[in-house]
Amino acid sequence: MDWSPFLLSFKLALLTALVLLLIGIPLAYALSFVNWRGKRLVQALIALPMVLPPTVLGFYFLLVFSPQSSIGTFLNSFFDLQLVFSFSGLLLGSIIYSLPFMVQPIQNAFEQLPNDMLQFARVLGKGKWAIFKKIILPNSVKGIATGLVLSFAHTLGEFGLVLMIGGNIPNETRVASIAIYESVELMQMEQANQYALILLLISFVVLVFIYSLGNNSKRLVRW
Amino acid sequence: MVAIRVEKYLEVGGAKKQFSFACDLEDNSILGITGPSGCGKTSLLKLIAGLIDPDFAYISTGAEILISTKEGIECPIDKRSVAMVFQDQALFPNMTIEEHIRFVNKGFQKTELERLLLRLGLDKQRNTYPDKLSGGQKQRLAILLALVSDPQLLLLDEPFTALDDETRDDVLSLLKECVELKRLPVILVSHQTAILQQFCTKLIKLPAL
Amino acid sequence: MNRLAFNSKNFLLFLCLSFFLSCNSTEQHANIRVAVAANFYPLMLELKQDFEQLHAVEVDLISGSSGVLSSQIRQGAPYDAFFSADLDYSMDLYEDGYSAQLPKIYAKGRMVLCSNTGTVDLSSLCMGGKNTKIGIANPKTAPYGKAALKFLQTQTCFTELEPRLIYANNINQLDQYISNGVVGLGITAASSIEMKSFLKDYQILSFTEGLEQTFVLLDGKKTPHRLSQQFLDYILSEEIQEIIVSKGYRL
Repeated sequence: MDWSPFLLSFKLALLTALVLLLIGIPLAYALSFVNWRGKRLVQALIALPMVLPPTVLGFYFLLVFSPQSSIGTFLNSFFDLQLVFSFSGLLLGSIIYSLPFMVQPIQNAFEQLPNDMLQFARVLGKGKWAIFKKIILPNSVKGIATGLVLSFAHTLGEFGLVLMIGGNIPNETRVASIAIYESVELMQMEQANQYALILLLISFVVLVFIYSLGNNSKRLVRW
Repeated sequence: MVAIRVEKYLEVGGAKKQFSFACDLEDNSILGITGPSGCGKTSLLKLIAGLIDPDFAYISTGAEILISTKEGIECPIDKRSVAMVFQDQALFPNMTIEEHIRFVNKGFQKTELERLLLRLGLDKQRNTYPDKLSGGQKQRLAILLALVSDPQLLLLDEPFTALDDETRDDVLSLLKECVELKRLPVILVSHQTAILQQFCTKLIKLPAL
Repeated sequence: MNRLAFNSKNFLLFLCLSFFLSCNSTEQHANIRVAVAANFYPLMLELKQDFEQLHAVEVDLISGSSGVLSSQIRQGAPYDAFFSADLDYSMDLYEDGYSAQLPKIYAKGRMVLCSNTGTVDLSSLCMGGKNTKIGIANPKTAPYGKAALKFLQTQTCFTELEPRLIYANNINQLDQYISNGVVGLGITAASSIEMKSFLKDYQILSFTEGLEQTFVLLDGKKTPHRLSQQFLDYILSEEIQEIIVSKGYRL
């Protein structure tokens, strides 16, 4: 069995989740704790990939980054970077596509922190950075873990976007979901079966993990 | 000497009502504040701490001006040497008692800390997280943290609701000691007028809004 | 509330480690990327292995309908060579400057009417049940689909046939439809009969003209032309051409 589509999928999902973590935490903070103009707009923009067909995102991605476009030409000539049909492009696309899956759980976690708790720390003389580091982050670990795992899993299950902006290049953009599609097309049912089963198991384990995160604190109450 | 003058339109049941308060307080005194629910007791404490924006305010402790809307002076919340203990003890679920103390004031004097822990009956729980503490222990921890933050003014919002009579008296006598030894002024909000009468230097009854 | 260990130093370490692990896995190998029309892809998978053993090169194959692959090339897909199922797509790329060399014919494809559910009889095409779907590749992107549609349009009963048509993305998907019985009849590449043993009955449409399948060398930036050229020469070599013919193509 050829493991390279899985290695690629994992690499893509891991990098996506890590980059999203670095973007997601400050973004969730700005959405939860700071008042600014246009916040609703940004919030809607972040949530867009959840309702938009991946083909719409793919279409604009190709439009903006194709070598014929000015941005594409610029990136290519100054940074030797090509974003269509390449791994880096797939990474950028996945980051945009999975953004809500990282931001929303973290934002929820931030917003569920009791106001009194943050105010108490404040009147005890602690600055915002210290409160963020020592109180907000540690008490949002579940939300952050959920965001990490969800965006990882969501990237792992990506198909339409990869097909459009990545094509099907071995070791570059042929991720597991694409490999399954191709195996079915070529009637290599055994290989498709193996790939599909592995993806199914991973997704299941991921969801079990998320649900067990949520339920630890709830004890069954007799009623 | 603490001087407090505040005015603020507060929303009560959908209507905006003018709330105003003026009072001077000696450094070694306990000011008790009581009144019917919804009269702005908690809001007053939050106004002093800086958690609510006032329409007009002049508040100073002996050492500094906390806020003066006229002069455009406003000290940020964490820079005011005012500590406030909330009605529902707002502790930090990720920290043990000892970690709470280290978080609030790393350099707090050791022997004094031990004495306070002992006085508040928390010396055996120092490695315990808040979810394993009783309501009374949480309340005492919140008061301890306020003291550890070395305030110039201490605000307490209904601090005795979870305490039995005996521990309440222990806490009150500790507070009295702090007031006298450290000349720490205290503002105490409670609906238990009898206790306030017994312990406070001065008692103000706020009218309904 | 359960406590997950949270420590910013451990966390940073974890971040660095994961970045390291995930960036580390790229191995540098001489490789060329060849985009192949779906009908030729199954055979190409076999030829590629042979070529890789002869030369220290890795050949990455990308399969799809000729139309999809050529538009990917126009959008900047980094392919070194393109094996089209016809002449037009290659020629257009050459004329638009994507290639410096004229397209060359590597095979001529024939079409076959086939079924995996019943018998095939060309004369009964018009009489077949109304519920029997007819599968062809998408005429907009696949040359085989275009040719199949052209053939069907010559039938007197085309207006009755038209509502029964099912379009597949490319030949490989079409073959899968035929093999599953999703479509009762299909018009696919003759090479599919040799490469995949799934058909119950078939009839070669020998009177339709063969599709001139051509390749072009693309102006790739990263890979040396020499390797790609070597691969194209290999495909045109006598030995390989014989294999191609044995798999249902003509020269």
